[in-house]
Amino acid sequence: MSEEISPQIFEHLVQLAALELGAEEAEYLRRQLNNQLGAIHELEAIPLDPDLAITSHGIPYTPQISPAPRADEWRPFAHPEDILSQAPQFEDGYIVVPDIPHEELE
Amino acid sequence: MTATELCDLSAIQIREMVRRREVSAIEVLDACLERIAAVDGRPGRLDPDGLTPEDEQRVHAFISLTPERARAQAAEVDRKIAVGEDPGPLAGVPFSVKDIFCVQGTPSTAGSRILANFIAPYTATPVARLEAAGAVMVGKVNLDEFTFGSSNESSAFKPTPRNPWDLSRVPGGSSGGSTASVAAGEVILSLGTDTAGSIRQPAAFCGVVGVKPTYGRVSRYGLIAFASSIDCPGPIARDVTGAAMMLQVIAGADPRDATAAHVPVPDYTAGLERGVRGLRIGLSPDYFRITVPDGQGGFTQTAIAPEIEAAVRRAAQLLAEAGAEIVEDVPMPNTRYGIPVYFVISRVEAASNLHRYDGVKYGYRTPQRVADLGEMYRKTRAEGFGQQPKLRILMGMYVSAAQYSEQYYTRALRVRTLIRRDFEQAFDPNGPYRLDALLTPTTPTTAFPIGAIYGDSVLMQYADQLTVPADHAGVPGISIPGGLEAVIGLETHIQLNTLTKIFCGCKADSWFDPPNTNICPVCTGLPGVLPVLNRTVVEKAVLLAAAMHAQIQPLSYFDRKNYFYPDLPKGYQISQYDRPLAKGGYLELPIPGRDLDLSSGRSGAHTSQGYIRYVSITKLHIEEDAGKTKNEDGRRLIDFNRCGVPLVEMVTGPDLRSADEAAQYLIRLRQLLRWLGVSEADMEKAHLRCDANVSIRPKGAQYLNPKTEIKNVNSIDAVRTAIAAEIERQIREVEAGRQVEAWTLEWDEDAGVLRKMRSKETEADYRYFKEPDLLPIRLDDAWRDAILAQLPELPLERRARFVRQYGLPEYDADILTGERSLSEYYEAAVQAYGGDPKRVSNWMMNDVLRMVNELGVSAGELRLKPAYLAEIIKLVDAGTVNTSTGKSLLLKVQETGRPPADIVQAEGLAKVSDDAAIRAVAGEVLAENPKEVESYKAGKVTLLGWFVGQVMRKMGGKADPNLARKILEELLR
Repeated sequence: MSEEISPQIFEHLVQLAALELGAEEAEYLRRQLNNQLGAIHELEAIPLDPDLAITSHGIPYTPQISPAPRADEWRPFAHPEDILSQAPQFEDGYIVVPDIPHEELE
Repeated sequence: MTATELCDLSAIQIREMVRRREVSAIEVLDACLERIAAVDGRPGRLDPDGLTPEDEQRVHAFISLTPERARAQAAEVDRKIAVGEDPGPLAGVPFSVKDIFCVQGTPSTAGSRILANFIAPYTATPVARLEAAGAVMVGKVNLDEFTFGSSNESSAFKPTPRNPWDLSRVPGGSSGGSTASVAAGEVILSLGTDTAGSIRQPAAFCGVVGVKPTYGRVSRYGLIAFASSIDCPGPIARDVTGAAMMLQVIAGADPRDATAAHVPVPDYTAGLERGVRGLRIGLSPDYFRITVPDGQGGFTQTAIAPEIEAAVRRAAQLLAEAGAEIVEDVPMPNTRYGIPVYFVISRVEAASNLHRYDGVKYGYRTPQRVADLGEMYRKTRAEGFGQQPKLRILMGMYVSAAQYSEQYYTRALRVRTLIRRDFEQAFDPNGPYRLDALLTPTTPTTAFPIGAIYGDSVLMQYADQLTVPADHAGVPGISIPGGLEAVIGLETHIQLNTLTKIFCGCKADSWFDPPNTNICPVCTGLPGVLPVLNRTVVEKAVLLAAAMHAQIQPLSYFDRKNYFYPDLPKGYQISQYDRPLAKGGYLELPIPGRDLDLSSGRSGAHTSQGYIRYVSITKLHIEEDAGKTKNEDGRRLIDFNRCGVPLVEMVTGPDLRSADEAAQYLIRLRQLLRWLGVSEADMEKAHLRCDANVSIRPKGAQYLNPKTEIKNVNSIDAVRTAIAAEIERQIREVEAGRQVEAWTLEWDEDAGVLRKMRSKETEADYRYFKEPDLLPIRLDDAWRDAILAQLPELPLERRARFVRQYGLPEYDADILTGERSLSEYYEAAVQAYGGDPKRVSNWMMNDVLRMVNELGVSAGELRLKPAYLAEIIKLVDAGTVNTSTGKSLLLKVQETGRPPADIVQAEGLAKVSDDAAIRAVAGEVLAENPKEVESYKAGKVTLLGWFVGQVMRKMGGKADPNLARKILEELLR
């Protein structure tokens, strides 16, 4: 198994993903990722023509079948309170979360 | 402490550490030798091979290293300290010596083939004194041949030295090797010489301190002579204290030099603590002008570059804040003759000083077969000297030969007296200026590229025009680095004034709405929602891109920028990354000239000229806005009203150079956005947001240092203040020897200070990928042309056209094109008026503009239409109404919307020019005011104006005032 994703790289990924993992779970997931990389590396063996274009959606979108951008018309959503009632913490019109860390410049 | 850092310390730090045995002199020497090995590359040689790419990345300060000698000296210093003997005031401090000084046992070449093989049998006095003081000589550094030059390019030993700050540029000359070796941290001090500026000019180019002492302060014994009556050995260091310590050691009388003055040497280092409090420091307009060849064989004077003048004035401001008194307008009128005088005097002395290089006693002798002594002389000197010595020898011969001497040489010596007198007057303690020092730029330009000037001997010599006067007058001079420039780029986010958000049908503007009321499932990132692009967003962005001269892309893509933040509901922002709507672009930003007033409340004696700053645009793309958060009692409150508002992000290159320029950019950008109708651009309402990227570097450098990012500046004034504060902070850090780190800072408007924010994620961590929920923006020709048909004449273009077409002064044109509907109003009025456009301009700038401001409307919204304004002016021209009635008509037309002629008729406002009518009223006024009539007749003729006023009052302001005055004068006779 390759060590391409080292514990340091894995830790960085965990931070980017805004996750928190126990040591056993982390190690298991890291090993699984490295195994999967083995499959992904299969792609490198394929010769690619430099002119080969990407396919972003499966079907090709020609101008004819592409929907046009919409007109600049106001369509207000009738029940914003239905959205806000989903929030875990809501006070006086605002959604509430804990604060963001700051550092003072000396 | 690591070896690298040791060689970057100052002289006093090293001396103290060595004396306290924290580090040995050997360790310091090794640090310098390591630095030399790392950065200097191959030393200068005669007949080297061509320049390699590696050569171009090295400094090449040295001609010969003397590591054994240095090691012996360092060991001796360490030995003395170990046994308790005094190691000297410069104990363990490594220094280099310009190879114009003889040092026993070393090649002393003067940078010339003719001395390439000369091993000096004695040591110059200044070098001997340095070694006796415990300093450690590391080697001989390169120079212009025989010190003839201002760029170090004329040395016979190649590769010639390069400027460590930017290796494609010259280090200056002739002490280029000295200043380069100090600036690169290869040595701590260097001994150079100054004849026209050869210490101070390269010191300025390399950002180090250089001192030309008073002529006669330092012995010239052992200095291979150039101009005997002008040459001065002197110190070069990275700081003023080091220069003072070095001058202390080398100064003073010498029995071997009959011109070394018997003047006691003061304690230069004690003076450092006193500072500048109470000193009178002068500024002279003659030093803010430079002489340049006019391309037709003559010379012309032009203002010095504004950045150089600004750097000197900033220095003056700092000195004033430190307690010095700045004295303006000190005349030094003979400054401009410094170079012509120098051309004559120095060449005469040099030619004679070079007589001794004849192949007889030492140095080069031609290897060719010669028929006689004369041929040996000629071939030896022709082969041994480079072009610069030959030029000086020939010129020296010419101006000193008997039949020419009176005209050139004696005359030059007399003009030298005038130059000296400028200084005597400036420094005379009983004179009008009583200066302690004169503050000037050192050089007319910053360091120029290698090869740029070499070959033009006149242009090269004029590089010294600001330093040479001190050499002629014998007075001391010091060059201090002052040229750090700010490098500023601005990131702006512009809120487009579409009706709805970019990806959903909510309103774009919700400034006055209660929180979380202008929302829908799409812009709050609920599960399952999809974005749909608003076509008007594309149209307004294309207009802006075209106005910024950017290349509009027919196909562009949206990307997801992924990160976590509570005001970003989807956890990603839809933006554009590598295939944006537009690429490139620029703005030619006019920077107005202004009065530069310094201290003591004097009115601006110096005006800086206006100029154009070219600002490139590196990014211009569309994206969606995030919501708003605020801090309350350790919690964050989130309002999503603003999520999904359409933004254009526009980023400039690092092209702005001051806080004022940044403010000007925002002013012009705001004007343009409103002009195009794509944004209200009100910074206080966050329609226009700005983050500033700020770094500093030596002036003229091409690289970029780490930058800080300033966020949360909410007005143009705040941008100016915050950037100015950050520039000052960075300069203080660098001057204290620290590095500037790439922080993100937040501007606290109320406290007026910058605070450090947590660092951002890097670009790679946003994991950009093409937004799969949106198709690319297809801007076909038809759509693009339809949009660009809306592009109006741009504000700066219209301003230029008003100046050209209507003959308006730039100031007036700037005001009249400040706002689009005002400029359209003006043109319509000029059309309708048909007469002198300047007359219309006067009425607009005084009265119409005031009305527009007071009523808070745009010119296009006035009921006082342009045609009506034209009519009113015509009525005044024709004499139908007088001027004050005309002015009151403006308001009446605005209030009623009726044509002026109608109002004049209806209210009977026509000017009364009926002689009889006025005469009758005048008679009444005089009859009712007998006391005033008496006073008038007794001689108080100013009362005439009062009588006219009374007649006007009685006639409802309609009388022709000139006629009334004539009639009254007649009646009062």
